[in-house]
Amino acid sequence: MPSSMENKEINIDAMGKDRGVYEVGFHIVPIVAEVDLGVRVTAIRDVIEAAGGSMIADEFPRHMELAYPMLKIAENKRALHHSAYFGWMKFEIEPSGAKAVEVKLKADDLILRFIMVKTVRENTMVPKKVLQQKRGEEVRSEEKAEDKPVLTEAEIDKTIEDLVIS
Amino acid sequence: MKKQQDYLSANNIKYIDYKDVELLRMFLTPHGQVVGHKRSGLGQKQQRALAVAVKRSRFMGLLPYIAS
Repeated sequence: MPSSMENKEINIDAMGKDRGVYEVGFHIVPIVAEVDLGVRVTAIRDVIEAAGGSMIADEFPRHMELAYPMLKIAENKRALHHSAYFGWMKFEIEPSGAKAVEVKLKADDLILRFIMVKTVRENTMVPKKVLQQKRGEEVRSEEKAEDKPVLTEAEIDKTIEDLVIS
Repeated sequence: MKKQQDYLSANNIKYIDYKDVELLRMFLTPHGQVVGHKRSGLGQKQQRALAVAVKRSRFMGLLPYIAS
């Protein structure tokens, strides 16, 4: 089956050239002043664009309390951080470029921690309206609706009378 | 009997984002563990995607490894 084998080879080549959608989530150390955050964000964006990436979406870093303290060793000094500025960037890039971005971000002393994941072009955050309708509330409201019509006051009286007599 | 639809399919959620802490918390116990598929009502594929998202979120300090 030479024809099918040729097709497979072509597909593998095409996959290597495909640009993927990646996302970088990062924590900037809290010692950076809020005024200088823009500079840090531009630096990260420059790294991505220098590696051949094109931006899709991003969110400016916001100060947040971390769920647990994180250790960062920079210039041979250990520092424990309890909070950080968290932001993210979504971009399209070739796999080799993504690797280059990862190496550059790792070397940045002002990035406490970062994560690079493959994702989709569309917005992946669930709107808050959907989250407000929690499953628990739906179930409870259904149960209440079922309970109400079962017993009227007259019926309750009758059942009590029956019980007392017996 | 009508088959009950899981939360993600019911709300047309196709991708579980590690940044979406509110969504992830719906599938965690008070201690921060991921609930099992029987409790979450998710399919195998979605349950795995949930586990990956929670692990990424923990790594980034958005969710705790162990909640006290």
